[in-house]
Amino acid sequence: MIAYSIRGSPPNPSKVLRLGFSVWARNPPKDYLSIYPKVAREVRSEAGSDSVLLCAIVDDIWPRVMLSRTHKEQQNVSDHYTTLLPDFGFHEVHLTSDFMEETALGACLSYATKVTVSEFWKLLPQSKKNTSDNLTLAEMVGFLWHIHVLGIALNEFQLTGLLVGIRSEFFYLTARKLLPPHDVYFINTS
Amino acid sequence: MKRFDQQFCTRISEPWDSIESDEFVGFLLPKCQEVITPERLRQKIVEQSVLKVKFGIDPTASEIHIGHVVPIMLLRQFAKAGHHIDFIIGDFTARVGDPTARDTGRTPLNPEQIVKNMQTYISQIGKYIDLRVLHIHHNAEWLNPMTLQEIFAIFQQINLSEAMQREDFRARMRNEQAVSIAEVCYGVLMGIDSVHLGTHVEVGGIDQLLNFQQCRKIMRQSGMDEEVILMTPILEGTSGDGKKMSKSYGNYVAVNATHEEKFGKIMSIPDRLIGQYFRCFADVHKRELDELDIFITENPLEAKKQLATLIVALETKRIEDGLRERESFERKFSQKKIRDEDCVELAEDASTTILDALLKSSQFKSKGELRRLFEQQAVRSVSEDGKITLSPETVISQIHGVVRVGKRRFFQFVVT
Repeated sequence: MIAYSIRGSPPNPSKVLRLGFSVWARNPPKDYLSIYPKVAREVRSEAGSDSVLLCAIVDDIWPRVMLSRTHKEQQNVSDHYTTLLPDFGFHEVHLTSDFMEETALGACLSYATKVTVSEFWKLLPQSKKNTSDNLTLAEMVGFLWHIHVLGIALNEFQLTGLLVGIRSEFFYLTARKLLPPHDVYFINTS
Repeated sequence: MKRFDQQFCTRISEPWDSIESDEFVGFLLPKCQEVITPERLRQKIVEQSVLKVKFGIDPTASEIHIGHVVPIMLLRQFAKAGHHIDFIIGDFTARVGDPTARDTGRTPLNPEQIVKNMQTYISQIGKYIDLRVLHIHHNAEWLNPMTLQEIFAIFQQINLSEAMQREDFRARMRNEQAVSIAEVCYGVLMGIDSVHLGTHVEVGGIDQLLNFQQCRKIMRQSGMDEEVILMTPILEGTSGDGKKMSKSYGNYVAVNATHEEKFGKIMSIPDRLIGQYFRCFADVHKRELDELDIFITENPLEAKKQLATLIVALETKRIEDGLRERESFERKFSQKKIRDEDCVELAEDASTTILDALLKSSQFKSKGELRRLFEQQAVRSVSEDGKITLSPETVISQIHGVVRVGKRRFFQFVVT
């Protein structure tokens, strides 16, 4: 299931892996998310660690903003994550609205100075490139926000690594240089 | 002889509280390279008894030159006519870095640099505008607390490909130089400033045109009346090679320069710049432009001396200060009468070379600068016997009279 990994986390004497996986709470969780706990166990056995703790970082702020949902509408979707993901085998589920401030411009722009337009362009899926005339600067804000979420989550929950779908590989490779040191495991999700 | 210096200096202190709108516009326009749009400017002046006028700076440098003062002189006119001046310190936007007129990305500033630069900046512009009329804001006040929802709502209205259409961005990308996401967002942030303040008129350099257009767009999309933009020219440097005034080109007149230095540097500008400098620094009405231009064409040296007098007097609002510099300049350079007080006195051992003595004087940036002056034969002893070019190896005991270095520096040597 692990396509490849990049190590970068600092030495971890506790031998407890803390892995994070981030997802947007746009729609209720899909069944494929159940593979992540299996991947986490594979990582533990590969790393020879005593135990592994898997955190889901569920971003409920961005979909609410992007889809102009009310708090209640978003909460209905987010609740599915908080109830279902523990059943899938996730040890912790954190909603971004619980640990992040929405006053984000300063934080986002601190990343914006370090990412070029060309890098951003390379990350866009072909479908978006094909309709680039319709793209707005909000697309960039979304990209920066996602990096910001990961940055906060890595610190807040003392994550040693991230599990990332291989489809998001390019995004993470760009984001990685802006984030605190961590391991990353790219997962074949198809 | 017409005395424009005295006329314009007197005008500095004239009250404009009840100035008629057409008359006011007549003073504004000569200072502007472009106005978007002149019709709306006239309308707004008539509609609003007190206009909200915005001027923003990112405190990227601590020492400024008179090129930076050009929009301040326009702002001063609005303040004089009783309008409300919002002076924005871009403590937030400086962290992003204005892409304007850059071949490469501007290095974002850290908060300590911003505070330090701002303190010196404000004290320097205080020579040209009454700081008490400025309503000073820091744009982090309203940009920092913006929620993701508010940001998204604004950024969603700006098309990415349109934002990338700026010629400076395209040129950089053609040259494979990076344009950061933050730079693309810069104009939007300026627009948010205008929306927050409800700006009627924005003042700035012509190089800000693309950012200003973004500002107007953001205001329009926020359901507000677009601000009117008054853009001042970018002041050409003193060397006359067409380059803008800039510290890095060495063609600048520092705001903190002495009156003597200012007068001397203004006297070094080419004649074709006299008119531009007058329009930038004096309150010239458009009906006076023809007369001023004719005067400059017919009396370029006199016009330049009057300009230099005025620029010195702008700081103190007293023409006497400018006239004193003019008198001193004419004595030294027209009448060639150098007095002791014009010279820096250097006491050195008889066998010291002039190169070493001048270097110790701390009047020169480096040995290299001094060597260049020697190579250009710009180090000469000036006495009743005439001018003698000196070599760097000349020892102090061989020197008689005053030594002139470059155009305007004089030294006297005393053997210890």
